[in-house]
Amino acid sequence: MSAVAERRASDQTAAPRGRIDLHRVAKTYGQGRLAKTVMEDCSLTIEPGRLNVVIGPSGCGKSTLLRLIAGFDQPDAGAVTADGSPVRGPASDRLMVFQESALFDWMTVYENVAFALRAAGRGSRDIAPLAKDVLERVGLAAFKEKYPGQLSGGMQRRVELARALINDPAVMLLDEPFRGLDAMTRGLMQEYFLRLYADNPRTVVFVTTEIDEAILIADRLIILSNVPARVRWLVEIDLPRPRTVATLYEDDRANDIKREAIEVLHEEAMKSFRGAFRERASKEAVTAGSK
Amino acid sequence: MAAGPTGVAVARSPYALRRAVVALAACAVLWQLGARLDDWTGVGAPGVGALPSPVEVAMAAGRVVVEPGYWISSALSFVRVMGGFLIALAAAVPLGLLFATNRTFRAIAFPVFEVIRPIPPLAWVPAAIIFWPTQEAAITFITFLGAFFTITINVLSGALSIDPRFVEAARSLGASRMTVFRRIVLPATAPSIVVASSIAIGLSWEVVVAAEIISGSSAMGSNSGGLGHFIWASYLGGSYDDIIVGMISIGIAGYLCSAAVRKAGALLTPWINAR
Repeated sequence: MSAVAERRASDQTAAPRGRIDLHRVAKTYGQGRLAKTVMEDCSLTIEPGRLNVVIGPSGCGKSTLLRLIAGFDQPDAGAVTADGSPVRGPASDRLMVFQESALFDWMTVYENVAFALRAAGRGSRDIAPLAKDVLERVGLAAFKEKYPGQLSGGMQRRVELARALINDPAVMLLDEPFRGLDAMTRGLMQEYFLRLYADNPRTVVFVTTEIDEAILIADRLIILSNVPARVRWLVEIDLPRPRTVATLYEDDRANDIKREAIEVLHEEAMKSFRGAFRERASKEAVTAGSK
Repeated sequence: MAAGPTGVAVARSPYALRRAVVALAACAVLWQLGARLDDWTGVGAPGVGALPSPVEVAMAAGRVVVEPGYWISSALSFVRVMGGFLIALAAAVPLGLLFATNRTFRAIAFPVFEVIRPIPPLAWVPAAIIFWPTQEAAITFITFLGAFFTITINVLSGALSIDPRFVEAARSLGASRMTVFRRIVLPATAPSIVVASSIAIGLSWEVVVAAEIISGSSAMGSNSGGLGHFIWASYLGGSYDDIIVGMISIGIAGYLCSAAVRKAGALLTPWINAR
């Protein structure tokens, strides 16, 4: 049994941690004419111990949802609670993995992975076996002395996952974690992610724009509306695991979900297009008026 | 070819040294031709025609470098540059970081800083002579000014341009404000500090000579004025070859100092060129 798994086994008796509730949340960025309401009257439950996948048209407030749960931003109205207590700021039990890579360039792979434990005041002798274990699990033990700039895009994402996993967070927030990778690497990363998840299930909020990725990964699929974001459609993905792209391709249930999801997404995306046209038209009117 | 800490492509070509030597030799040849044009054709080349030729300068250099006075002058200038530069570095890095991280402090102190910054270091020379007790302190103060503002501004802009995701990722990983500062802000600003330092030490060399010329020529003996005084004394004494020797000495010293700073910087920021 791995060191991290042992640690988890000891808290197995506790109730599942990591339930997140959003209650009638509103969020506006900017002020005056530049103000943009990204979220309005949005209520949503992230179920503990499950893979919650959030999908929606681009710019619909998916990242905002994660930032609110992570505690980087505070809601203007409503409440965000984690296991019943309000979220007031970032904490390592609600861990965010950023779009692209946010690895620290100036630290080696090992130092990146050890960062959180060192920040928590753990000694090197404590950290070393955990870091070794987690780096082995993502297959990067041989690269621990490299700098992030020396790794390929896929390897960087694996370091990101390792850096998050070593903390054994109750909630993992992933903001399009495989964005920007080529299709083949992306497929491998999805497999990797599911295997890591099967070893250590926990609450995950996984944001993506790819419907195939969403259905491959999700226990629950949450489709957000066009801005301001609300839950537009929520579906339990009760497909058997392990899933692969190939088995889903032939699965009628999977294809039904996919078809319906694409329809909903398309409808919402069209709204954002129409919205964009309106906005442009009104901006042009303003510029014309000011001349 | 890899990007160096200054963002300039660093030559890794095996021909780099040969190319550098050829370029320098070509400059010397052109200079020699320009300086001797009058003797050969009766028509002087503009500017360079009034200069001593590189052969004469080389001969003068051979004579000068065995005199202890030359080395004492060089050492004096070097000490003034390093003194001013190191004090500037020690003061400007914390100040730049403070400007970047504390909005209240920036609102109060930055306007003052910005009003003082455009004053050229040389305009400070008379005031420096008046309010510093020794001439040595006054000249070091001028080299300090030459480096101080450049480093502060670069550190400030470097710290402000840190990707906010780095700070957020660190906070999400449970880092305290102090840890974020020590392990995120400081190393993320390090490349800016290195670039600023290699520019700033060159600026210190630029101002030290003028400061020595203005302040050093009167009260001190001929051997205690630094390279600036060496050049000025050569001018007053009519030994034009020595002027050029002094100028080239400063060029070489400035180049070596900037190169040393870049080298030290590369050691301090090993992730920059790691590929």
